[in-house]
Order: sequence, then structure tokens, then C-alpha cells
Amino acid sequence: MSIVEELGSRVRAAADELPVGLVRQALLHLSKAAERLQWVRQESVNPMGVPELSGATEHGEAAGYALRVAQEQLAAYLAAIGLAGRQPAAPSVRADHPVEPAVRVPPPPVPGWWSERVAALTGRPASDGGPSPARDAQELLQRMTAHLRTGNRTRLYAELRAVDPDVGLGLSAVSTPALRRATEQVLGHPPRPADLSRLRGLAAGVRELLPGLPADVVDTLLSRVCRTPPPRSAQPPHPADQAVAAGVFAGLLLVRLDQEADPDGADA
Amino acid sequence: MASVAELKSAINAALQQISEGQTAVRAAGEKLGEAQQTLTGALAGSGHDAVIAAQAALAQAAQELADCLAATLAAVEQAEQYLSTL
Repeated sequence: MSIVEELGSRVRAAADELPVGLVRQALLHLSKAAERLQWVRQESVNPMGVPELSGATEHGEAAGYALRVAQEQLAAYLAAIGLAGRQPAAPSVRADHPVEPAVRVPPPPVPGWWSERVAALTGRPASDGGPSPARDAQELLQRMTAHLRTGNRTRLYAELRAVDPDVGLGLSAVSTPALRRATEQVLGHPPRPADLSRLRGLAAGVRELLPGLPADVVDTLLSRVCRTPPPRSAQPPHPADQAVAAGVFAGLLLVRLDQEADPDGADA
Repeated sequence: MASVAELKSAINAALQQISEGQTAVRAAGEKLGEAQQTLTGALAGSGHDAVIAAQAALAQAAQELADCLAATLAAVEQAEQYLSTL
């Protein structure tokens, strides 16, 4: 087996083993749970978790669509390197609809898409002579927090533009727990739906720092922090937007609390 | 009108389904993490559009699974709170 064939074999195996079935299984359970809670809700005005469960189902379906997109892209890659063969199985992941709906997560179009998107979000075009890129998302969040503390926008934007897409996208994962912890400290209690309005005020700095950010991205981010169903967007989100917004908001809150991003990644 | 016992039974059944859903979501997250590692190792340095798009989609899937799990935890909290008032 040639090196290319071996590479193709590994990629195809990874694509085939993506947990589409597990996501479908989870959605079936959540669907049954929702049916039962809806029945109980007919007897009470208490929402008893139905809106949250609805949000969970939406996230599960979105995860399934994203997995399908990944499978399609990996199949396209295999075809591009001359290893087109059988397509990976990509069954529907919706619990109640066997027909696959339209894909919701758009693939980024070109190499360099991350730095281009950061430039669009920040309103500052890419320039030469940036910093050495952060090696992982935790280091990136630390650097961002340091620049937010000193008010150095230029270096903040340069740090964001410099990283590889996988490091930048990792901001979502490292920022979410940091956000929950920081908002809890600011609010004095775990964030809940009633805190959305106050958190919008705290997030005003995100919009100021990211003037190109679509309006609904911050609302989606805050709904995640408060564990409420996210607002419905007319357009699918760009994969970079949530990650960058989450990192900037986490950094702003850490500065407000006079804290550092955890260097050991304990936030994550 | 349903009795309190029937309501409690239905909520407990819902909680059981959510718990099984959470187990599946956690398992999906672990499998997804393994796949991301495998692909990162195999495709390191590739600047191919499709590879970048696949990696972005996988990161999106991981985030959605994390959000899905967080939302189920909030749903359980709400349902248990209501259950305790019955």
C-alpha cells in the first residue's frame, strides 16, 4: 500500500467512524423525553425544562449536520487526491425526519479563510510582521486577555489573525467554561435566562472590538452561557464567528475580574 | 385530568430518556475527539480547502454537542425542580 493509499485509508476510516449514529440515538431519546414533558406541561404552566430540551435538540441536530458536512468534505478531499471510492455513509440524524435536510454549516471557502474572517470581524486588514502564532487555544486566550488588559487592539487583532484555523476554532472550547465561571462571579450566581439582559450590557465591548460581527452571534453566545435556546438565525453562522466572539468576551470578563486565563487549561 | 402520580411517572420517564440521551451525547463527543485527533495527525500541514472545511465542521460539531449536553443539564434541573413541588 502506498503512502497516499495509507493516508486515504486512515482518513476514510475516521470519516466512517464519526458518531453520526450516536447523535441520532441521542436525538431519539431527547425526542421521547420531550413528548413526555409536553404531556405533563398540558397540566401545568411551569415550562419544566421544555424550552431547554428544545434547545438541546437543536444543538444535537446542528451537530449531526456538521458531522455530515465533515464527511462530505473528507470524501471530496479523498477524491481530490485520486482516492475517490465509496462515499462514507451519511444517514439522516434527525430523530423525526428520515429525509436529510439542507446542510446548515457552510464550509469555509479558501485557504487563509481564518485570517480573512478575522480581518472582516475586526475591520482591520491583515498586515505583515505579526506575532509568532499561539500554539494552542489556551495560549491564544491568555495572549488575548493580556492585550485586552493593556487596551492594545492592534496586538489583539494580530494574535487572532496569526493562528492556524484549528487553534482559532479551539477558542470556543476553552472560552465556554471560562465564560460560565466568570459570569457566575460577576453576577454572584450561575447565569440564568433572567440574566440575559444584564449580560448583553457586559458584552457591549465585544461588539465594539468586533464591529464586523453579525448581530445575532453575541445573542447566541449569551444564550449558551445562560443555557437558553439560541435565537434562530436566517443565515448559518460562520465557524470563526462564535470562536472569536467567545474568546473576546471571556478575555473582557477576565480583565474585569482582574484574573488571568488559566495557563494549565483548567478552564477548559 | 392526570393524577399527581401520573405526572411524576411521566417526568421520571422523561428524565430517564434525557439521561440516556446524555450518555449518547458524551459518547459521541469522545468519538468525535478521537476522530479529530486521527485526522489532525494524518492531515497535518494540508492546506486543502476540503480539509480545512472538514476540520471547521468537526469543531462546530464538538461545540454543538457541548451545548446540547449543557442544555440537557439545564432541562433536568428544571424538571427536577418541578418534580419536587408535586
